[in-house]
Amino acid sequence: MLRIPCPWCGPRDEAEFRYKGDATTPRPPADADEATFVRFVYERPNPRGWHLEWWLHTGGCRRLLKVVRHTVTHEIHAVGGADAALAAPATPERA
Amino acid sequence: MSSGSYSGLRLFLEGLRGHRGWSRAWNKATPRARYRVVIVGGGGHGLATAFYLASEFGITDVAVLEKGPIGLGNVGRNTTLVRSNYFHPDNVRFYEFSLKLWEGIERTLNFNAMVSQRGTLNLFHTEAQRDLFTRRANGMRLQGVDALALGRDQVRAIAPLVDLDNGRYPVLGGFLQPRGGTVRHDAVAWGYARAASRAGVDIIEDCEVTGIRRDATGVTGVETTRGAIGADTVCLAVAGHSSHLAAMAGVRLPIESHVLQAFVTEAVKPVLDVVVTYGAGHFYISQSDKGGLVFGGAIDGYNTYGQRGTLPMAEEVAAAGLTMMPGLARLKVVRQWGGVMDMTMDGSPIISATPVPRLILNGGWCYGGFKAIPAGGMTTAHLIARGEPHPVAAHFDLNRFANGRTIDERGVGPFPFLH
Amino acid sequence: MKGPARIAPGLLTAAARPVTFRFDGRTYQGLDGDTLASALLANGVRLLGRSFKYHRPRGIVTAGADEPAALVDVLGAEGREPNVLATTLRLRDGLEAVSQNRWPSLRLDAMAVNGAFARFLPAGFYYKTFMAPGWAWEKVYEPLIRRAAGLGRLEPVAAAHPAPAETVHDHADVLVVGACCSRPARPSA
Repeated sequence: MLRIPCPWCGPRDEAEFRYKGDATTPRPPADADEATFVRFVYERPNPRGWHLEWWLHTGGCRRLLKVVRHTVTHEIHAVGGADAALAAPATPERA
Repeated sequence: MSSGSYSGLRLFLEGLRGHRGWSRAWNKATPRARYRVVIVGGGGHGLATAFYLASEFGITDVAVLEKGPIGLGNVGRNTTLVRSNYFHPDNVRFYEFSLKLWEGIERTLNFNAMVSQRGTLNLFHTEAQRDLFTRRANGMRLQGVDALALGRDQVRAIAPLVDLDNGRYPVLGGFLQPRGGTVRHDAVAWGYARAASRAGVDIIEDCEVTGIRRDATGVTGVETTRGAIGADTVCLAVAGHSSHLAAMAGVRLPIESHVLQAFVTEAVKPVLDVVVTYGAGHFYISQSDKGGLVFGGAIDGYNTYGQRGTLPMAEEVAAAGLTMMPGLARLKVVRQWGGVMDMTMDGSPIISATPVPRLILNGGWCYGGFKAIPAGGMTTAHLIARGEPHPVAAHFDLNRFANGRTIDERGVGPFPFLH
Repeated sequence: MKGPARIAPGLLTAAARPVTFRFDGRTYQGLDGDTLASALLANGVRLLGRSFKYHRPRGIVTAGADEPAALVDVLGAEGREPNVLATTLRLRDGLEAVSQNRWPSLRLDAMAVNGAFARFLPAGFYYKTFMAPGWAWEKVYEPLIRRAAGLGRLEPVAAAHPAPAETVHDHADVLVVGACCSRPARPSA
């Protein structure tokens, strides 16, 4: 069971959240070229390691959260609000 | 050193002399410095690609590199289902091509893959669902593929475990593909490995690729935990790890890796002959030849390479199963596991060249890769050998996302863009 | 002391409270506090099942939840429960259990002949044969293998499970939350 520490509600079970995917790529401006939009819509880094991603706390405060989570161990390194500037840990990646 | 041919007579004779005449099913080869084709990934698709390269296209200077032992990736973790009951005509053609190859696989590989076409039954619970399934079935029949519409009584007759009169989700009927069914997954891995090895392919285990070498002309080889290996062509067949490997060549893919859980119960006497899928939730179940009921549901719903999954989806799968078949409540689940699913943005696979010359991708199988192993192997081998896509797999081009030709296949389930 | 093989009253059994139960059609007496396994052992019954593949005779190996061999099916008004461990099944009056995976009887199991042919049936033998003739796998070999496989028997249509569950998913036309009314009012229309 993933336990996500919501900054407003505290640690909650994953069943209270909806995963919203990769948070590394901001939406391009409306006048960006087609290739940029193709990359934004379809391509994903999908790393085997630390991942910056969105979760929506649908069963709680309903805020959008940014989470840094390891995609193998599921360890959560940092959680913040939609505007938070989060980064993966500096230590070398675990297996 | 060949393991010799398999047959009932040989088994009997070996039994008489204490089984001393068997040799390894496949050679555990030592990597050479260079191959014409290096296939990264010794799963179903990688091994099948190697086998067809050798047997259909005469290319034997091939190495399959597998980071662990053969058979422990998704090919050993699936729920063994085979079928071709898709909606999109190009997909019906591709998966039917695969199903026809399954039907001859024992002869092709001289290995009992236990191909069991006992039927795949899709239940429906509303008139709208009936319409959708009718459209799909008619699409299949237009291409000469078997599909039948069943009423409630017929569903009761072939799947008595199903609770037809469930108060919330009564069963109105079902659609049956009689030629759908199951194939023993371990036999597929070992059968293709043995056949490829006998055809001259080097199967190299415990060899993890750590880098992809390129120059101005394209791919030149790979770096591995067992040394560098040169190659004219490198083919990635690593399913859930496609993004991880492609990144080594500077390629970003339209793929997210998610976990799919599967479960098996204790063994009981035969109680379910067909594969059944639920129409009011994502759930499917079949009974293996050993007696256990094998079942599963949807992906957990978050990026992961963890191969285990978490409880909320396990509970949801159990709830769906018990709603459809209340009798299952008597069974104990003896094993649960997960695999890494390479989910593409349109739910259909990728068999394609990539922006890096001579780097070929076989991936994006979402959770439907097992049934496609023979066709995936054959069409990937064709692409490598002939330099152009096989006609039945041409729509799986990687460029389709940029070209606006994504495949609208409803039969596969949600794709990650919707999550 | 309820059983020819019972050598002493145990710590968990009450000699004053005998219990009657049936196993494979025969009636036995045990004591309140017995498991099915201990009661059968007390009655001199040592053969409880057959091994999965070679149908070799199997009995009770452990005293608890790690029992690999003494699996039985429990019959009753609440439906058939397959693969119950005899070593953890508490004895109760009227308990009826049957052994598994044998025909026609536990003592005279026709499939025990597999044991005699064990040398021709090593691990994974089925991958190396059953391929010819092509039609025979689905029509002959596989149905036989499927009938031989599995231990207990699951009834396709079963009553709801009697044991309480942690989670229940149910559906109602009207759901009343709270117990303020002693009798629910009949909803209009």
